[in-house]
Amino acid sequence: MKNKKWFFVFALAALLLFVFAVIINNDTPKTSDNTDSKVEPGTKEETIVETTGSGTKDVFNFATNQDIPHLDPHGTSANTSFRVTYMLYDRLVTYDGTTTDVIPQLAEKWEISDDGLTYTFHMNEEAKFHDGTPVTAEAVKYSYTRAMDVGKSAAGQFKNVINKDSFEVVDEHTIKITLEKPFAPFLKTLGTVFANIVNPKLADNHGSDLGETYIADKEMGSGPYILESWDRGQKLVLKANEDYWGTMPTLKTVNILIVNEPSTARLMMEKGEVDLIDYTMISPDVLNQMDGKNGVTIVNSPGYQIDDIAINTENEYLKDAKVRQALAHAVNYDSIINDILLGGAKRIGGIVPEGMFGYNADITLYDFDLEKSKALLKEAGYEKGFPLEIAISENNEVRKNIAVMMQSDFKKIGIDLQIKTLAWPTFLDLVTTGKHQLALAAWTPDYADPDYNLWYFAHSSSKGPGFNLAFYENSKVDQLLEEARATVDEGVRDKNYQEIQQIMSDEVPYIFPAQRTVQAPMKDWVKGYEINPMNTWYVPFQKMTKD
Amino acid sequence: MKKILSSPLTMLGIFLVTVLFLIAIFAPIIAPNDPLEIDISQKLLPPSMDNWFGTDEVGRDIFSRIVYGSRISLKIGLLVVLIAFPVGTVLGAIAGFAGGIVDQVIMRITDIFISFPGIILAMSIAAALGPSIENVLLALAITWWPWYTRIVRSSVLQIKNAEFVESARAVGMNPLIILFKEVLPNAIAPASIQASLDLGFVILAAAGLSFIGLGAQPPSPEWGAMLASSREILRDSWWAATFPGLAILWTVLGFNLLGDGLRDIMDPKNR
Repeated sequence: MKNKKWFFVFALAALLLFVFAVIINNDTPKTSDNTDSKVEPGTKEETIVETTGSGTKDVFNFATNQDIPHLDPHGTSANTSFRVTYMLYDRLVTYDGTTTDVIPQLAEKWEISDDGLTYTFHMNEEAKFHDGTPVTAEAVKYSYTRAMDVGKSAAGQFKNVINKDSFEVVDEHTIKITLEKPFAPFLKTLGTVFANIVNPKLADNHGSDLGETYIADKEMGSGPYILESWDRGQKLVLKANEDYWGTMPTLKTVNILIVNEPSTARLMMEKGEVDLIDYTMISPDVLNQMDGKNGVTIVNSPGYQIDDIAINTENEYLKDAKVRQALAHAVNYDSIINDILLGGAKRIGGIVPEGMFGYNADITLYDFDLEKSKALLKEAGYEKGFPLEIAISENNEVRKNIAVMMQSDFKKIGIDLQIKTLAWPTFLDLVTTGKHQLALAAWTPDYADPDYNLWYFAHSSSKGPGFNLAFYENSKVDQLLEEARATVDEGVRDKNYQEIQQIMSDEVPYIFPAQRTVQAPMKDWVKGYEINPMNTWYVPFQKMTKD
Repeated sequence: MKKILSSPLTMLGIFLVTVLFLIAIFAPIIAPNDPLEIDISQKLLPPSMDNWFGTDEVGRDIFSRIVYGSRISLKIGLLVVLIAFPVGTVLGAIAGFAGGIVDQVIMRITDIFISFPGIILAMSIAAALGPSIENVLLALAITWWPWYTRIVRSSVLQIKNAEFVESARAVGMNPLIILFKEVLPNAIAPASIQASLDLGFVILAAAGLSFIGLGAQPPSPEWGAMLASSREILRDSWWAATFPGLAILWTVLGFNLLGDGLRDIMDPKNR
């Protein structure tokens, strides 16, 4: 009998422990050794306070839940790596502030020939890499060539634009780049993270993979920050570059903390251990609850991120434009914007965001009207509806809630919508191979030109891995895109892009639930954080301060 | 029977499990609302007379969801045990009774399955098959049977040289009939106690898999999935995670106490 009593106490304790462990375990900072943090939560907590003490004005703590895969300046496609490499490296031109036009960085000035083919850059002679060697025209040639050879994400923007013979080193600090054919957004592409200038000494460590392994956890840049230390999955520390050729940063130390659980990041911020949280991390409901309390402000800034639902146009039901229009009428846009995103978004009809060149404000917007939707389905011959699947990636409450809401509304027009939640790599594999029906994702351009968004979303050559996830094909759109790419006449480009948006609005290869406002939780004492509507991952540590 | 009544813990277990089954059977009558109906204007309301357990992040009634969720949990628990138990038992009985090479083959396969931590194996199976509640069921069934094999084999080994088995052999009975008519009925008790305990653990494991996103897909009112989607808002909307957690607690505790009570009654050593 005595035994049994103990068992009862033990069972109850164990189960209570489980329930709370499920909830609370996710509140404790994740460390590489999970059991460790359970055994000694106190010690871990202290370590964090100690190493990230926010009382110091020149130490900045940034929390994100997205781990940094590696630091190759040309081989990564992760926003969380971009944020770091943008600080470690400089580019000929760069993006800063809230403008989407490039400003000079390594290049002091440049000339563009009248035919739009030749770009001549005159570089700053003061600029030095972190090892003291000057940044030269040779370094630019080396970096761009490597970016193309590595062939990862960076190569896409240079493909069919430049090649290894495009460069002419005029003198030590002047480089001439000749394009294969005119490409209007070329200058803008040079400000992206893919155009980082790396120290050509990397060539000594190329190995068999162009130094990808070598540089994965190192840096050879010339930027305002140097890589101090990196504890994978936990913390990356940036130190101000004391010999920086440009303006010296005020924040001497920047800690990028990997905090898996949003609720932990929130707690850390309220306690003052974190100054800024990655804007993608906290859901709108929680943002609302954080605002104005414990010295936390929510920074709101226009963004170019657009949520999109790709409709696989090769699917037997979805190949009919009428069906796609019916779906567009069955999405409750107002409720998504006001109830799920709590106003942190606005209505958008196409993939070119409001505020960008080429944006068409007059395209047809579909209203939420289930009667129209039913009528369209009837015209298409699907009066009785059909089953459908929507793929979403895991750990995204907002997308899950949008999908759940669509599921509930689609049911009313006879469509049985199944939600498939997948890990990101699985999701990516599914949608790029065209095995999906609907896929909910989001898109932010890497350079502020409608060519970027439209080419990837609508050109038939971008189907699948190129990110035309609707597998959309329209010869008129292809032709308009190609024409706009090849001319430098802004008028022609503007006209073409506007026309494409209208065509896409009529044919509905995609549904666009909303254009997001970027909302980031920040401590009141942080000054100088400006969100670039395009590079929303970009945190200008080099010009930020703390009071 | 007297033994059951004299043990308050077993009674508590029976009570918890009975209530659970009643809730699952009469879910449509008990639940005040449709568990899937969204009313986003009513989102994240605290518990009240209208919504006893409050509402979740898209305005669904949490009480109704938990009530319907009991069906999912019980279904998984029962089906997994119903698949794993017969498979494990038959294999264990054959291994123990036949001995020799057959025993070796069956038990080494069993060892392979057991040498993986169960939940990790279930996770990889569920991840490979894609997230859905059916795949969780399959994954758990695959990880669960080896335990029954081991238990049954050891009891069969104890019994197979008993006198009544010897005498059955002596009269020339077919070995298969001996196994299933004489040996197995006497060897199955420990495994069936284990099965009743396992019901709770299977439900817990399924909730765990759903919690990490490998199980039930939205909008299913599976408890683990409900817990997962409300963990971020826990600080300001405690009810969204607390009640599904309590439901899991109720269920697992119920089956544990019941299983333990059964062990006391049926285990010969305790007689």
